[in-house]
Amino acid sequence: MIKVLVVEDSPVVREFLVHVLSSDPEIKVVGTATDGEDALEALKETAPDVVTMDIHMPKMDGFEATRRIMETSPTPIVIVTGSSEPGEVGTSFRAMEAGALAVVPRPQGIGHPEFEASAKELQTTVKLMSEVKVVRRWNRTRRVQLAPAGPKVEIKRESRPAQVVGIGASTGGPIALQTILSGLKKDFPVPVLVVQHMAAGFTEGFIEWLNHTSGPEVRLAVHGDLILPGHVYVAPDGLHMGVKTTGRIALSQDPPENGLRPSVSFLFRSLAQSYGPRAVGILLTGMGRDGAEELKLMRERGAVTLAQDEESSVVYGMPGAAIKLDAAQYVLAPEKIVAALHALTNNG
Amino acid sequence: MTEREKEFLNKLIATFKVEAEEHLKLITAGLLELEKRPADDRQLVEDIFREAHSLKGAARAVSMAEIETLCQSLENVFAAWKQRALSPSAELFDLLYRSLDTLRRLLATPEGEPSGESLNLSGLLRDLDSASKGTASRNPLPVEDPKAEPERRPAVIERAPAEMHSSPADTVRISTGKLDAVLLKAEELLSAKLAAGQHAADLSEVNAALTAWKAEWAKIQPLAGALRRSLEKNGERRALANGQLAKIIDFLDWNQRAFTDLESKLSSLLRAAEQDHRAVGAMVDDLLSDTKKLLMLPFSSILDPLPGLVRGLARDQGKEIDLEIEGAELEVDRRILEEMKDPLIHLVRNSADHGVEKPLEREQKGKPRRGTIKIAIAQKDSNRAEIVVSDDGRGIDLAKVRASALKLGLIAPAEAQSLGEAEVLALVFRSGVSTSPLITDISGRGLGLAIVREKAEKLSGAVAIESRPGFGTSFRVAVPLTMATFRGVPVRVNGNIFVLPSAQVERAARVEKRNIKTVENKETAEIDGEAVSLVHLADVLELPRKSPNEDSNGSAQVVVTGLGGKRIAFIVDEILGEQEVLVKSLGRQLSRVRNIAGATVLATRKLVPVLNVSDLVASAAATSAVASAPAEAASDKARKTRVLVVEDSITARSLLKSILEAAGYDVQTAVDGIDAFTQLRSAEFDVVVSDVEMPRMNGFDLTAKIRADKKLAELPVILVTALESREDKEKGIDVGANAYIVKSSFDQSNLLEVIKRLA
Repeated sequence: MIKVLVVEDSPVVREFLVHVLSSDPEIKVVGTATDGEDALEALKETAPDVVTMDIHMPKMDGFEATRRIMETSPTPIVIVTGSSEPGEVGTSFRAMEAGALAVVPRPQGIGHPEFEASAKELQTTVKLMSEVKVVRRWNRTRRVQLAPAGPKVEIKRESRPAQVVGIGASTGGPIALQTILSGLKKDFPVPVLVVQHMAAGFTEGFIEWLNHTSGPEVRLAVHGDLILPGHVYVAPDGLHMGVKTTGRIALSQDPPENGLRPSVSFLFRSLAQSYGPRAVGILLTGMGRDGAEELKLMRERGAVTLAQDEESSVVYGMPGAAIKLDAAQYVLAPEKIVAALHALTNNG
Repeated sequence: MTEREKEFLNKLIATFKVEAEEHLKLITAGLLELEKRPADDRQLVEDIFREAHSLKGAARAVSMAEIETLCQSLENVFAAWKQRALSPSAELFDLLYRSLDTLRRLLATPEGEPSGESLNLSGLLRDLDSASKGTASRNPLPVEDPKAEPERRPAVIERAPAEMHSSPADTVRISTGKLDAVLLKAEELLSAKLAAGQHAADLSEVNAALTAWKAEWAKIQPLAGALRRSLEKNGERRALANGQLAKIIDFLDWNQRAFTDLESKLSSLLRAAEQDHRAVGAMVDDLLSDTKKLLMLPFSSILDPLPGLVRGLARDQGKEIDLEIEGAELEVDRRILEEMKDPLIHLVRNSADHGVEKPLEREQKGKPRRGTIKIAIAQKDSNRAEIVVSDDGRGIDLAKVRASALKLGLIAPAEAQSLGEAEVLALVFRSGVSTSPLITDISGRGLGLAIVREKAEKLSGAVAIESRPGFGTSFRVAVPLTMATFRGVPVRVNGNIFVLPSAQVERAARVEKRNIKTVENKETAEIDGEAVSLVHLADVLELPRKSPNEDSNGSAQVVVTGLGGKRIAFIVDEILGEQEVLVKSLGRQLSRVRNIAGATVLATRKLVPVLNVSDLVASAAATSAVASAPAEAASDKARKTRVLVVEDSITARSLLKSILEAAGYDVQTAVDGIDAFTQLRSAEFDVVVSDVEMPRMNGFDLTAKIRADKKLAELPVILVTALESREDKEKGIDVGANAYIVKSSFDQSNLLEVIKRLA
């Protein structure tokens, strides 16, 4: 049984979440809390496997509560947000900086056509997160190590520098992505294309959040846009993203791959076809195996391929699958991926 | 949706309603606060925004799409406000208050029923959406001029801000149902206390019987001693007889020892019983008073709707009114608050409607444009609060009260002139008396103040009124802070015991038979220097009277009640005392029994009825031979009241017709004003009920025509309409309608009541 603590100030929403979670036979709600302070108390008493956390609460909000929990008794935290307004979603993602593992939308109400599906998403996320090992965080500022300590990564200098970088990520991806993107220079010389699996409606907020950090400008991919250096393009909700040989973005409504749209597979396949050896493919943390085969394809077409290492991955599923297929040339932590990217694109 | 989900959803909806109330309250409070401040306060807007947002989230969890959508639009407005993309205006506040009202109505709509708000809603949503966008574009620089607007806005000034928010850590939220159950059980313990008292009394009676025995024994004891001594002297000569006698004397000795033993046991038992009685009594009393304190809430909990109400009334009537509230933190029993809710609303309405004048009129009188209604609550003594609702309006027009009371036959024409000012003022509390020329939905039917008095008296409180023409009116309502334990006076009538509520018993008295006078076939006696009519309680209860010659020593015991200012002395066979009584309702099978309010168990375990005094007073009036009503009135009532219904919609017409016919009226119908007027000229009617919007001739024109006609000028006209604006109401007055009922709040009892009053 997975023990869950529900933190939410609205009594209605609280009961609703308890109901949704308890409907899953593997989940047991062991406690509820009405605000952050209350949550810290309840955490001591109930020792849950996962905490679901609302952001806006009186006394101590979800952001602060997440930070405190990760500093004192690290527990997987899932942010459950009732808003898809970009600013609000951005706030929720900031809780991830404090150590929350995932942000999911609050399920639709009972009787809503999407109730079942959205309830399932919450249940699945909670179950998945219960398995994640979280580590204690001593403070909120996480230094991005531009010059990584330890053994230096030897990146083979390609004769021709890369012209495009594709990144695929799922569970645990936002923080890894943020680490990588914030490490890049503002005028990073090649465009970056990103597919991040995410609940519908969150993409804009996600982009807003990413733009809070330094690094290249992050924007929502638009069909037909020319991809430019110094920019990061994020695939929109519900559409596959690829890129043509002309350097223009091609969004597609092709059927979902691996049950996902946008899928990392679609992006990587498109990169392999359009850019071949002039592309870099990076597969980050995430559940499942989306993009693993296609990373292999990229490698076969001469592209440089990277996968996130197990230690830094929240879920090792996707990078693990790629490594098994021998799809990744380098297996690195996000901080080192930054260095690798600079090395790969440095034409000076 | 599965059964389980449905069940859960229902539970969730109940929680939602409580939560939603809370959010709405905070939004309303926030808006009222914002309206008061000339400059906007971003933090406050942010708070309101949060509340709307939370409400939206909660509504979504229970799938209440209409509330969710409305909250979304509200949220957009607040968001724009927050970003200073719009500037608050009086119109915006109106729109927001309207939205809150709609939210409240949506909340009140039972599940699964079409709300009937949908049409309304889309308009409201449009308005809100354009408010969140439109205003911004029209007014790109929303610089608030602090002097421009605040003048017009009604404000709420709350003096002595109460420390109402105790730390949440010290409080728990318990449903009132649970608390009521606890209180009920605590009250049940009263019977244990009464029984303990009764046991002690019974034991002390037995003890007294024993004392009587002791006295008798003391007389016999010397004789027995003498007998024994003489027996011993006589020796064995009469052994046989002596043996028997000796046995009896021995038995007497044993008997004395046994009784002494018994007596000591009895007295320790009596002491124990008395101690129990005292201990149980004290504990029950403490428990009861503590439990009652659990149910105490501050007055503010019922005052919340008032600022909004005043604001709405002021807006509808084109008046400018400030509401001041003082002492809202005083805590009172929840049940008393519940009872006082409507009366308070009524008093405030009354002040806003009849008291405060329009700005122009006020200026002409040299008063400030803005009127003030003040609610002051204060504790008067250990268990009494006084609520004063006062206004600085025009005061009460005594002549109009007199005229209204005269018309209703409450006072005789001769009486009308002789009544003093205070007596005339007191008439406003009589049902039907109104100074308003026009009956509207809000007021004018003259029932409100009667209800205020009834409620206050039900709580064993009182209402007083002071009015200075031209300077204002104030109502003083005194209510207890806690519900006193019900006390009753048990009386015996023809061998049966009944309980009269002590609260309504003014006094008990003994009346000498020879002092009873018969005036106009009614028995009266002088009590405290005042002639009071005497009624045999047995007659009222339709029991046989005890034959008069059995009455002891030529006097009668009476219980004097003083309900509604009218004293009546009920003659009973015996008054048995006064005690605490636990009143039980008769249950649903007997929801209403004339003269009987409930039942109670006396300490003797005897089940007895508790009498309903106001019924008794009414029954007394019916039983005593009065009936000197004017003969013409009686013949008038013999004929059915004839009503002309004027309505162009066939559905509404037949509906009205059937409602009125069911209520015993003779109903004719007309399809428009012209048809109606033709009918009015050819036949006689007692009252006209007319729609306003009709083809050919509308209701206003019809009314005007009726008033212009010599023969019809006095005919009562009731306008029933969908138009709810002040202008329309005023137009109704101008053309001479007697009542103006808005369809949206139209229910049949309302109409029937108005007809009854006018026809």
